[in-house]
Amino acid sequence: MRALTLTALLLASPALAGGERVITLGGSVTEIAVALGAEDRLVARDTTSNFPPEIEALPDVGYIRALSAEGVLSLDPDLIVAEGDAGPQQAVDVLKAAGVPFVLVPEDPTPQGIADKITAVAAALDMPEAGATLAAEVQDGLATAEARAAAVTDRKRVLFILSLQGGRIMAGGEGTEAEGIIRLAGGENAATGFQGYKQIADEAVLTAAPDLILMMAREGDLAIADADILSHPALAETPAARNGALVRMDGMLLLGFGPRTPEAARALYDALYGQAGG
Amino acid sequence: MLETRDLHVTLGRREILRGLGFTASPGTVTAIIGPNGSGKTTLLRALTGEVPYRGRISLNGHDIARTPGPRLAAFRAVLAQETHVAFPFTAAEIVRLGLEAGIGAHDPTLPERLLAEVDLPGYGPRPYHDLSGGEQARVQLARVLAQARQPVTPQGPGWLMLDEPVASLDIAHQLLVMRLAQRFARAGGGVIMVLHDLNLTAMVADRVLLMAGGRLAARGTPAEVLADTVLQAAFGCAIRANTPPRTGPWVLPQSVLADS
Amino acid sequence: MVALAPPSPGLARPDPRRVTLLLALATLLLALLSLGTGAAGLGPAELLSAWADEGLDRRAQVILWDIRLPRLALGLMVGAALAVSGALMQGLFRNPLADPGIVGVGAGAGLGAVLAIVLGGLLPAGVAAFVGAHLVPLAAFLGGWVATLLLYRVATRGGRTSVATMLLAGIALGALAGALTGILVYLADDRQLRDLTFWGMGSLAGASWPRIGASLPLILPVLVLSPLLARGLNALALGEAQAAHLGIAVERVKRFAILGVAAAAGAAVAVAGGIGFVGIVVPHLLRLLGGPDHRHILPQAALLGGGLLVGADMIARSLVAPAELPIGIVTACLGAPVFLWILLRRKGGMGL
Repeated sequence: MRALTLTALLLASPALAGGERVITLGGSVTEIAVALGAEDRLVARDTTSNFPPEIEALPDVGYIRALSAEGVLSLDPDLIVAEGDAGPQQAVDVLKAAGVPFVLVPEDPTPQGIADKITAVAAALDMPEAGATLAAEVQDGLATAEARAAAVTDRKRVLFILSLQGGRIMAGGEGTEAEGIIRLAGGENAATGFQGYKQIADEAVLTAAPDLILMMAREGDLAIADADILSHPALAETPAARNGALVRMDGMLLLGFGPRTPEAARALYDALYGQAGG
Repeated sequence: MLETRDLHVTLGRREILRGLGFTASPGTVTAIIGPNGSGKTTLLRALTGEVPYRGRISLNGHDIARTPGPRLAAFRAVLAQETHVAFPFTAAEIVRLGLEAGIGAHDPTLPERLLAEVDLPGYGPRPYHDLSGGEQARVQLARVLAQARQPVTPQGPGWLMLDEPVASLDIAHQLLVMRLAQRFARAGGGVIMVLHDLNLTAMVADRVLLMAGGRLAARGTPAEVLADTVLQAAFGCAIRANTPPRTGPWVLPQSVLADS
Repeated sequence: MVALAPPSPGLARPDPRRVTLLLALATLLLALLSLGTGAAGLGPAELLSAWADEGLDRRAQVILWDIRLPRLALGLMVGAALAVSGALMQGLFRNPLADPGIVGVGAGAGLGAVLAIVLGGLLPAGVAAFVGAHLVPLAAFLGGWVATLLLYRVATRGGRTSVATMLLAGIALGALAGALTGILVYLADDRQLRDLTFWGMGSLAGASWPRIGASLPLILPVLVLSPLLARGLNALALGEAQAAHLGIAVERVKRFAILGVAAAAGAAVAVAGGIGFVGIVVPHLLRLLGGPDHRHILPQAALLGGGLLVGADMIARSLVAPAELPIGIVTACLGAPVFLWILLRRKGGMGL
């Protein structure tokens, strides 16, 4: 199907062929491009693009907000699709001046936003049908998750811990992606009263009384043993620690608000209510 | 001509100079002597404009409080008690700082010639920080002589103001420095220097200012000032001054015991 | 220079004019090398032949004119500005540990940049549209200026500026700016945090002709005019009082040096972020090489600083290509060991 579409477009307008050497910047954009089936058209990615794992074999052009114009150009791209905050502006200007189509995809961590992003990436890659299919699929999944969440009567409280360096708890507060996914999974964010990801006091953790602790799965020395987390003085007294309710999920899956978000919501829902027979 | 009138200096809350006035003429060496804390160095620092003062100081007819530094530098050179040098300059580079402040053409051999005059021949390329204390003091003196290398300048007589120029020198080099000062004065320049050594004072000074308690306790020729009673009153210890026929007065303390 | 052959063991210093010439040649060579180096290939030979045939395609033209040349120009300017500022400050403070940051430029610019990154979104739409992508450099430059003027005011009483007061007040101001920065960091979201981390590590990636045009009037006059302060700075090595006796208008030297550094280092930090060690190491190297005479050090610092930064940028651009390292990491990685080496080599004789 892809080949067909491409051929059609190549014939129609060679200049806007949707790119045979594409660079995707931003984890969610890369993930969508791969989900659309454009994986073998990608020639490079940025540091935040690490899913699926195979994608990490591609050259890395650096952090999305500190791009090197010449580094990107050296890969000879004919299309760049980027999340809205790609930069610095000078590098983006130079890339545009070099005649490389540069498509910025809007950011909006809502179900509609995900669908829009998929549509935009698909349009840039000239794969409208695949885009429509994927967007519909994801919207269905999200609708299912929302319905499932709405059906929950006794909401469990979830504390998202971004990091636990040196015993200090950095939690996800209001307006965070973490809160978004917790809601979508039918849970309630236990960390309230502050915006963004902030360090919170031990006493606030006790007051929050989470039923489940949610963390990102990390590798290497950043990983902390479950036992260490559950024996943290503040966390040990929470219902979550007493029940050993600690869930770790891949960060991009959990917070990426991309095609895998329905999957993440399902997994978290299962962790919260699945075993309890909910 | 150096003229001071009704000079007062207050540092913090302490009045260090309490109203003194004197004149010094070009062609002479004036020594400022006195016990520790009597205000010798403060007087010199007032004369060089380093401390704020009340009263009037004029040098070659210029009120020094109103004359820009670069103009004064053309006919007045100052040697501080101690000079700390911040970067690894060579001896010649230090001397050249004095040359650049003075007037006239720059002769590239001058730094070495001036160093030779203070008995540091060939020391030009040596790093200043590697020299001994006495050698460093003589490099600074050469720098001052470089600035004041004309005893009589187009702006009038030149002036050397030296604060304890012999403090770290051995006896031979003390005499060398005195000789250079005297030569400058004989050539028409004026020399004002703070000295501790009363015998050197006796040998080299044309006029002596004896300070005590922020005032001038005595002034005059060495023979007048370096007298038993005057010195004993100022320094508060037993001192005898003697005047052998040939060399002028010489001074010997009589005892290490305090005079009761 | 003294023409006499040294009869006693002295410093075997090379002729400073030859040092200057060699530095100029080395910088020129590095500049050409930098023009012919980059992730996109396009070596010097290709550039030359393409130029000769006037056959540069659009991509090559963009790489040459919009990427490599502006970066080269900005690298030379920023490196020269930082190194000359460092030499001015070390001379003025009579302290080999002084760097441009000593007059508050770094702390103020850092605070300005963080303010712009974290709170820039709160600006009224009209203002935001007007300053656009230049908000951060603009805020950094203003921050640096305000900090320096504040310190200068604090340290100046009755027309005399106390260098020691300035140093101490600078430490206090730095702590205050650090605390304010801390508050802003606390308020910042994830993206802003990464932005300000990257800002602090410095980069020439923001090079563009308009930016060069904006910072050149601040940097170039300081580079060109700084040698006029050389005699004053040499004399200041003997202390302020001695310098005054040597006929130096000490207060004027201080004023020009401080304001010059605020302009040049402020502009450099504004366009390139936090680039450490150039300002402190370059004057040191030059003093070791050809002696401490500021008449030679100031122009040499411009050459060596510019050359070093261009070289560091080449490394930053090639090491992890197609990505690039923040240049501040490269200068610190090169600068810190060199600095330690200098210190170890001179142990015992601390006549820095």
